[in-house]
Amino acid sequence: MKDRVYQVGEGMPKPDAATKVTGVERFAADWYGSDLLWAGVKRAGVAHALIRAIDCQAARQVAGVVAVLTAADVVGSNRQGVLRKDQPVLADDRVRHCGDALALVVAESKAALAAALALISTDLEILPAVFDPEEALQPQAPILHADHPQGNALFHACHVTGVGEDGFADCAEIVEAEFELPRQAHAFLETENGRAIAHADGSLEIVVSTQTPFRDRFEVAEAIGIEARRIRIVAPFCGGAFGGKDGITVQSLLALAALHCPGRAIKMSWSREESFLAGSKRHPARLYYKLGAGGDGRLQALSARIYYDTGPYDHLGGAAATLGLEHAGGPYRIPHSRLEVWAVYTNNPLSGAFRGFGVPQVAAAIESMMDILAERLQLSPLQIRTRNALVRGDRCPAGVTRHGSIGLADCLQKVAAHPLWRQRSAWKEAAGPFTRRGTGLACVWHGMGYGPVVPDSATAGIELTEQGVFRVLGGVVDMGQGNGATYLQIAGDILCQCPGSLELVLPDTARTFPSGSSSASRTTYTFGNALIGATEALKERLLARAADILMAGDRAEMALVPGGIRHLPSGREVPLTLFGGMLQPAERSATNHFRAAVSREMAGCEANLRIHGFPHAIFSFAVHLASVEVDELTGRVTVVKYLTVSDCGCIINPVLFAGQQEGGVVQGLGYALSEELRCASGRMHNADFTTYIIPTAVDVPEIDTIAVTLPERSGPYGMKGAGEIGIDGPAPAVANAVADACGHRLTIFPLTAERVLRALSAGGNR
Amino acid sequence: MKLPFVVNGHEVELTVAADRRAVDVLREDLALTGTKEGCGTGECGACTILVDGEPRLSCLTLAGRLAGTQVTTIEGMAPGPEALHPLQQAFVDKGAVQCGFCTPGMVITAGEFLARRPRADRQEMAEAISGNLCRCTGYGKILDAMEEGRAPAATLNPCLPAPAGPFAGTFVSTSSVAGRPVYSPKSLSELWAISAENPKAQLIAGGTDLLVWLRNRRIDPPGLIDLGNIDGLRGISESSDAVRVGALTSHAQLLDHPCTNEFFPVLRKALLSLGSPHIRRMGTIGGNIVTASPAGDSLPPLYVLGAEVELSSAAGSRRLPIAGFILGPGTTALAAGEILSAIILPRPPAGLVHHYEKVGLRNALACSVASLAAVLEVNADSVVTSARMAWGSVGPTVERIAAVEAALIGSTLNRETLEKLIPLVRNAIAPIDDVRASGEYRRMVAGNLLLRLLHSDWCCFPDAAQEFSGEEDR
Repeated sequence: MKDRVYQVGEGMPKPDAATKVTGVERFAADWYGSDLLWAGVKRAGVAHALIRAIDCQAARQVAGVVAVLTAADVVGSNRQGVLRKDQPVLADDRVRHCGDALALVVAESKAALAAALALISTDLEILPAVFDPEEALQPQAPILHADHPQGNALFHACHVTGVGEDGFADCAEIVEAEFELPRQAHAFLETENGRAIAHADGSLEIVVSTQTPFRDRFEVAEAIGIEARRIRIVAPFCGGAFGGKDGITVQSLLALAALHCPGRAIKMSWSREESFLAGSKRHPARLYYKLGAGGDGRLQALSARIYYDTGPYDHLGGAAATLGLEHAGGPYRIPHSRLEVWAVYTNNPLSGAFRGFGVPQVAAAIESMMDILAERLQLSPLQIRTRNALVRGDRCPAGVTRHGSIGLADCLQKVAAHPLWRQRSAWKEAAGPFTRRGTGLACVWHGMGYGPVVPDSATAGIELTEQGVFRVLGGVVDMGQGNGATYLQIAGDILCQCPGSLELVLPDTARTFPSGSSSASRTTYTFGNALIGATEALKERLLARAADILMAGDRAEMALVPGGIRHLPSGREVPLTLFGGMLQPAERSATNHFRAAVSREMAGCEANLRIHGFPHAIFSFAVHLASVEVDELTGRVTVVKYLTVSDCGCIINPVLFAGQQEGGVVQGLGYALSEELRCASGRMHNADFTTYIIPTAVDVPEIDTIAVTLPERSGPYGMKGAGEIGIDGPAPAVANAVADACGHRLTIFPLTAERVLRALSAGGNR
Repeated sequence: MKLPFVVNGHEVELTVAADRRAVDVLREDLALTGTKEGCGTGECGACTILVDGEPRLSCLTLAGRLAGTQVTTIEGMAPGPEALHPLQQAFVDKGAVQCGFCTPGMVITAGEFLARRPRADRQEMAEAISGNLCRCTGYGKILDAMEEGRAPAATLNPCLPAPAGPFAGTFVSTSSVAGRPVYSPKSLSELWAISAENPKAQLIAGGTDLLVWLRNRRIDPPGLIDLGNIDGLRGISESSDAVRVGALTSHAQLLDHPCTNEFFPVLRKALLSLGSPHIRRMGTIGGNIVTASPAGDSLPPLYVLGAEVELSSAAGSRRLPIAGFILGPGTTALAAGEILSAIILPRPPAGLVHHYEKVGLRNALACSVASLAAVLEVNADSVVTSARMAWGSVGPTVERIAAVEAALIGSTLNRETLEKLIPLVRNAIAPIDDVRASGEYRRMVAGNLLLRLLHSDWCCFPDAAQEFSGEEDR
């Protein structure tokens, strides 16, 4: 494999797969160090309280304890967050959820750490708490953040297009339903962790499992009160993240510990249980939908009221709600809409970014609505979607003109021709004893990038080392999706090199350039565009210098070939190993900055929506199909076959692309069928891998992944984001399939066996 | 304690606290960080290593259990520093690696399986890795890699020690050596002496529950007594009328024994649904019984098979029927100083219908929400002539319902008969709500499960099948 020249479009193996498969790749979790200290956190365990006192005396007496710190030891703002900085590093006056950190202990051993944490006692005055987002908006509800002018409404927006709800007046059919979507845990296998050292020169080095090293640096600096330039964040490959490491987890705590224990390496690693307790989750949501169409099946009007439970802190809750609003109507033409969303503070566990970012919730609702409406109109699920599918130049349900590439019609055609769709009736009829079968569709779309206000930019760097290796300075974290490998594939293609001639520098605030987060389906689009420019610039300069050195007529006579530069007329070559040493560092490196184009359309929206990311310019599209069996005796739903047909533009690496779709689908099937962090009074009841049910290898269907390779002109090699759209479809596709199988529509997710059996029992037999 | 063992072909001797976990010793003391920890409770499989060639979850393995063993970690799997094992190469080529954090445990597990079963089909491969969670790939590409990376067994032996070379590990012991004592008696007489001296010490067999309880502080005993070195507690022996299973026999050993398939299909099916391949290899039948959970997967079959338990102490041994041994959730008839030493299974007559079904929240690593084990005798006219049925997870202990058994005997095994019994079942049980399911769901399902007797793997009655197709047409 090492001698195969990189080409865009080929399913080439990831270079990091080789180091991961042998166990030598060093994740943040694998950083120890001699003379290591262990840090850990005392957490609140109550949902809402005033902190009267935290007694650390006994903990400090434990042999081997080096430091016990509380909010009083934090010099900076003691506040973290992206948009609204409202989350304390260590709780100062108030506890807002069970996972809040009260005290930080640093000790010589894990045993001393555990002993000390157990000895910290707290004097808490329990406050009335609120756990339901709609109740939290009532005037009498306890307020979580007294300094927030809108009370518990962290974020609220109402966006009306056309004549709004008056559009229902002309509808032949109107359907209404209410949906509940669960709190989903990321359940990445590498829990939140890092290792920090405060060096003698005053610098602070933090190796951490993060999606956002460059942003972390400033958040930590402000929260703990040191200059950002003193902080270096090193971001190895993440052992999974999916949004759960988008923002601060252990960083500020580690920085604080390191400042109090200079010169010592300090490690913090959350247990799986602590990860459940204190890490962020997908926003639970309640959605009220009303959808109307004319007798011809053309959608006319939509009303949606959507409540996202953000938990105790912002943590991108407003941005997720905004993306939900933008996608609330699905990839269809709906001329009249009223879309209203809230992100609401509650004393529930922390919500935050999670692959899909507010979209899986609305996709489950609108795609269920489409099937309900289709049944009323006596249209097939495919007919109603085909009739209303967005085409270029249409306005989407949020009123924004869609002028990026739209391959939705191709996706629908491919599904229509697929045996799983065409043979669905015969398959359904052939169900075995006590089994019902059904087939469901979902059309989904996913906007890419940060939206119109926050710059979605990247700076790529590439250099030819003195030893003749091309080194790509990757600024965007690879959490497993393979963007790092894709960067090498792009640069290797332009430079006509083999994998052995390229290496990747992982994000490191001391070595690579700020390039934004690993999120928002942007990692390859934005950084790839930056990298193409840097690589082309370097290539031009290298060819020109090689032409000089070989006394060639001009640069056009030169070509990069694997391991060297060839003078085409004469066939003479200069090997890169020699060439690298001939050049000054500055002439063998290049950087390029790219900022993604944004939608200029105002669409009559509030400024608040724009700041939170509305509207997006480029969307990917997909149609998903699920074939399910429902067991009449237990209610158990088995997804037997699954099909995705996706328009994510052209594909740079089909193996990685398929991996993203398959992985997203299976995570989405967990969301559809079994994943639900159950809370009562703010406490989680299934916060471990024994009771939080994610799919195993024997729980997943065969998945057919088809790509509609329609080029998106603004994307590198015509690609669009592909990392999130796979998780948007499974919940509605499965719900529609279950409805087809049972004749019962379930609107509370996940569709556990218990919920399905209850529906079957209530409805009796067919 | 002194801990001598061989890791990836290198002899090491460490001084460690005996109650540390193997995963910590490998990662912290030997810097073999390829072995990952994802959960600490045996659910994710990221920490899988080979101990004497067999997969073990190193988060549920006491360090002391490594003494004298050959350990292979992911670092020792490749044949050389520049070469990859064929399965590792297949993982690379097929896109089976995304974040890579599950990969070491996955590769170790898959490699050991394919070395034993190079011709396994895709479903068997999926079952083999069903104790290893992957959150990125959706598993399809991992199965592709397993299909690609299998090779003749001779070339695919991950148990081979790595070629001698500079040892990658370093010794950076980060923990104190004074922990909770772990005693390892080599015989029952040693055990009686140690137990007498340490009456509050906790016995440990497979450790799959116990290490989880230690982790979450459900128990905090002053010491542990590891039964793992007492050969007298292992082994399966057959006599003309019964089979005796040593309490320390692992579920996997029991499954592999021909007598299980021949005489106790109902038990076999239950054990196949227990935990994951890793848990079945580590957990013991004795442990499953003594834990006395109403959700214990082996229990309903043992009830319907009329199993007895053999209890031993310094004073001698006695036998109890399983139903007399288990008194309530977590409560047994074990007296102080007594252990469960064996299970006695009477051989059932040939020709019985053995049926088992477990309802869990997923197809592997699932705690039972409700289960039904049944052993029936059905004559040529489809009339039931004897019936023993037991439900799991629907009460404080496994439930046999005399009225249902009595009503079934003498009836024709068809849908009508079974439907009449459903209310009897539902009325006889009082299941509780828990995090997995409501009591009401358990009650519904406990009744419904009867209907599956019509389509059990272990039964084929032409009459019943005909009646069923009649139902469908109606």
